[in-house]
Amino acid sequence: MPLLELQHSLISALFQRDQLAEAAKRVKAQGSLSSEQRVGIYRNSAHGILLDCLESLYPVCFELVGTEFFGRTAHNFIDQAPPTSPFLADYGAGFVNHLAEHPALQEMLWIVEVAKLEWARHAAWHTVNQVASDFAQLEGLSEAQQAELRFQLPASAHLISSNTSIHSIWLAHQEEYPEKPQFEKIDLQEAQQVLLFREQRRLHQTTLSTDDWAFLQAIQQQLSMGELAEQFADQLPWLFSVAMQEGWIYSFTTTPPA
Amino acid sequence: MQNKQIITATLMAIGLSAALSVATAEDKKVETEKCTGIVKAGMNDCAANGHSCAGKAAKDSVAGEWITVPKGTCEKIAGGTVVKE
Amino acid sequence: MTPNPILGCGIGLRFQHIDQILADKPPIPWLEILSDNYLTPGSVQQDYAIEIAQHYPVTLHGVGMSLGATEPFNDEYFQRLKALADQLHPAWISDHLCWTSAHGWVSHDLLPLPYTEETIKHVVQRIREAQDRLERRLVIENVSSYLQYQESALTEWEFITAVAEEADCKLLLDVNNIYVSAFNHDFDPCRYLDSIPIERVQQFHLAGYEDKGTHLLDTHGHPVSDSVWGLYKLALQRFGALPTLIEWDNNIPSLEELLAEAHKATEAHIHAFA
Repeated sequence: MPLLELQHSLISALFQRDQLAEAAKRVKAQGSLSSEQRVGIYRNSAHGILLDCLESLYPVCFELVGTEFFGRTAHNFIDQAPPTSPFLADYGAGFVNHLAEHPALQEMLWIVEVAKLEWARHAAWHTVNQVASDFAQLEGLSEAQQAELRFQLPASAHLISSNTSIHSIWLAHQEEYPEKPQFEKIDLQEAQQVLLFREQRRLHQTTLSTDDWAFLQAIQQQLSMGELAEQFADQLPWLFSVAMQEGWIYSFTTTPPA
Repeated sequence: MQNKQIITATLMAIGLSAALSVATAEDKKVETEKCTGIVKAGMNDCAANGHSCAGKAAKDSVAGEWITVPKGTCEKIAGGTVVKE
Repeated sequence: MTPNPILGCGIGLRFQHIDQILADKPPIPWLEILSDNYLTPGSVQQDYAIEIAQHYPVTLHGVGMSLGATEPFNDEYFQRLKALADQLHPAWISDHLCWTSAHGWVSHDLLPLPYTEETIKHVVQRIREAQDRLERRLVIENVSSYLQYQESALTEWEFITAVAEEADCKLLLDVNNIYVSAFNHDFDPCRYLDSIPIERVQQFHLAGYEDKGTHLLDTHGHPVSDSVWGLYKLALQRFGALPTLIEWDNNIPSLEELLAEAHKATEAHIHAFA
């Protein structure tokens, strides 16, 4: 079908520079613009739309590396991995790995860590939490059932462990954050554990203590109450207390996972 | 036996925290709505609504794009030494 | 639930303005919601859109159906769009007479079709299928374009008229797009307007273009130009005072400035017949 071939040719030119001349053969030259320039307008526009999209997904990385570097890297990424989904919200996950492979960032991989955090924020915004459990229902359980209890974080939750201070770097780039750390004084070597989750119209992002981190990981690994008691001993009531009040624990199940 | 006591104490803690959360939910809601909004959430209209993009900085990158070094705020940070060309 | 009537001149809903609109509830005749930004089920965006639709009449306008493509429709896209429409009760759903996908790739940019009899047949069948999937008549918009294909044998107005008649859909005439394409391809925009069947047109779009010297670029980043206001007046005289919407997507101004631009369209409604 001629239409299929035509469309294949044009979309190839949008994402492969060397296909531009081929696509231009099917386009009329008019006025002061050559057919190649006319296809070029579309290549430029499609790239511009996706560049805007990447900028809004990775605003802190954009500031960290600057307009020119971000732009060039993004253009390469767009050609390397054109969108395949009609949902723009799906686009841009691979940009993190693209940054990780960039020769100029090999000495600055902490920027890639920030990119991971930014993608996790986007993903959390687009995730719907499961139905919250009614914790009053815990009262009537038998001892055996109690030991088999398992808990869940909100479905939107991401636990990110980084060898760099991603949370502080991120905060330092937030214009309106009142107590933002001074960027120049951040210690890059400080490892940070970050929890992200969405609560309706709000996104929570917080660093975790080593204890809370270990506890939430155990929760995420679906350890049973019996196993949790084994691992955390008399710390457990307190860990649960904090996690419940912060909204980190969202639901529970009384049957072992399948 | 030890575990049993921990579990009992933990369930009590959960029950107490859950009750507390319900009691403060109303206050929390007001506070949340005051300080958040879709703009503060960092949301952007990404889809292009049928418009064409003028493609800022969209110079076609040919050879040498990997040579470009980051020149943003990363230069300010201790330990973030930028490799010079 | 019957959708509220769409009357007068509205604006496209942009995230920058949502908080202000929900807090102040300014009088806005209607809002066009860009469906593609609200398609994640249960997302915070959908949550806001639902609240907006509780207070204002809305339409849904999209860029992702890819009506002119040769690949099968994306089932999930239509399912999500249908679900969104079931929640928002838009007066109508519109998308563009173009294609955005081929070869497994998605352009997210509106790409023009070759204007041939063969394309008409193809697109008509696609629009019919889309209308069946969404269980409603669609409103189809003319796009701005920067190229014409060698194989195009028809004018754009012949093409769009034939498609609308055969697919039995409505038309959203983007007056700015007509002006931009007329400049870029050197045709008479008045002739375009005069060839479109009056009863097919449901709505107008207005936006601002950017003059790049060699061509006009439809960036939606400026106020509506004087020449487009002139063409809009002719459109009103031919098609009547149909619902009109101001699109602004780059350098988005304050809500007040955007509403002032919509007010200019309302003024044009009054003066077109004076």
